[in-house]
Amino acid sequence: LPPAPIGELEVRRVAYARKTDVGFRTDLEMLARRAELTRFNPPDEWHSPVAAMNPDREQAAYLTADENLLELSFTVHYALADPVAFFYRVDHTHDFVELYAEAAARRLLAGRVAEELMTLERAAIEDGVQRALQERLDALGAGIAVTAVRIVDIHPPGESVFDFRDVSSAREDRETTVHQAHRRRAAEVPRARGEAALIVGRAEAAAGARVAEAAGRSEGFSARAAAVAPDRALLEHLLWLESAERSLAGRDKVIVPPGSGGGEVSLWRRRE
Amino acid sequence: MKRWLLVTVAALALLALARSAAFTIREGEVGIVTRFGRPLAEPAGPGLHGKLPWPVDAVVRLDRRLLVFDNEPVELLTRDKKNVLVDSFLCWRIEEPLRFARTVKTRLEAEARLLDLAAAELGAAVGGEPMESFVNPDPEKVRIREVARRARDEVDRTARESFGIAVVDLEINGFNLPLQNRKSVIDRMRAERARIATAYRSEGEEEALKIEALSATESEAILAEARSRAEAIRGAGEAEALSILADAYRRDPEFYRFLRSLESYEVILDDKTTIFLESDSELLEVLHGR
Repeated sequence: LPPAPIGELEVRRVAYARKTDVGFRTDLEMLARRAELTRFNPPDEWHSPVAAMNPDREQAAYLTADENLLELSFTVHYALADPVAFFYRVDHTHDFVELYAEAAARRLLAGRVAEELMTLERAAIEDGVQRALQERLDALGAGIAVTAVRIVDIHPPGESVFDFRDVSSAREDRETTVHQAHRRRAAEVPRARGEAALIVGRAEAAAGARVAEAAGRSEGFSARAAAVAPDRALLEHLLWLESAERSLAGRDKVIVPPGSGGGEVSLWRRRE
Repeated sequence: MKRWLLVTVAALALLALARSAAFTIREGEVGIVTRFGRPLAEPAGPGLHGKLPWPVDAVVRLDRRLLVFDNEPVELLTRDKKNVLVDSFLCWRIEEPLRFARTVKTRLEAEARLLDLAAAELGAAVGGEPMESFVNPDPEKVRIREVARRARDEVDRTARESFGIAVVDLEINGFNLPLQNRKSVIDRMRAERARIATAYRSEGEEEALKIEALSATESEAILAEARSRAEAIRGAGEAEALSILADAYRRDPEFYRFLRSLESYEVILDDKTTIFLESDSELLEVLHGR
């Protein structure tokens, strides 16, 4: 190298893996305390170290296709593909990687629905941003090779976290209600079967009792008839008297002269 | 001694003069030689160059790199009169150093002009498109890039003609609703979530009721079947009992009627009954001593 002022040596870090935060800042002091910060996250806020480190989320708010808001934080990892271009072709007063990455993410999120963005399309966002960003940086000749785009955090705005979580709860509640109904059914049907057995059993018992009673009565009658047969008139009179005793004992009785007993009304007359 | 001093001073002055007749332009810069303040023809690229010594010629160095200018968000109206907060940035380069040096001179001055231009063109471009060109469930219909490109083309044309500036990019890196609208958006999001949650819970109830209905149907069917069987069993028992009794009574109907009548009287004559007995009734015969 010829001596100064003809030749001059500039030493720059080239192999260093560079990273740009988009939508949040990594505060190293807070990063060290992230466990503590996250633990004391208010329960109705999104649970993540990034959210805890960046209380002002306005810059991370994105409007989605269904005009919902999402808070997106991601990082762009890149390496220098062409150091000369990187240092001498582009001014680095502003972090243009961040700006271009943010622009790419805006366009992507503007064409997708919030619900899907948070779940199925995370990888699609990462790939999409990386591709769009690389294309733009190549067109500028910025000498940058984007190695990865990583979503650190994507979530609904703080004020709506409760309602988003409640949807998960509701899904659980639905299952719980269905399980409870199944449980009641599992109890009710066997109980009905038991009750049915009881009803049938009672009927069988009653029928059996009725038959047995009839058999007993029939036997009793036959026995009495047989006993009365030899001297029927006498024994029938006896039975009649016994019955009269049972019927009349303890009742009020009025004994009246013959013929005054209510004319034709004849009471307790031995049948002719 | 005096002469020595004179020679030294003259030599130093000559050296300073020679030094000011050469200048180097670094990579990423462009040099413009001005003679008494007026820029000369060809700008100088990186390397060693010569000029007339000071105070005749001076060198103005300009940045030839891509420069990034980050705008602050501005509130604009879409064609369908929706307020939106649009954040943008410009990526620009000095294309014609001479024109640049004559018109705006410094980066700060240039960016002030670009800010005005970009604000006007972006406002026009955004105002020419409805909201659905900025957010749309069909990604093909999101026209943010086209809108920005249209504004860029306009800014670029003017900036080239007026200031020798090429605007490489004008990008929209922020597209949001004003803070005042944020609350209503969030309220709508919350209402939507509440609707989904309610739907889930109601689905659960619906399912549960269906299960309960099924359960009730099953149970009732089982019980009805049992009741029906029970009636049949009771009937059959009754029939059997009657036939047994009939068999017995048929053998001596006379005696049966007699016994059954006695039983009936015993039931009919309860303790509330007052009985009139004629003194010559059969019951009292014996009392009469007949």
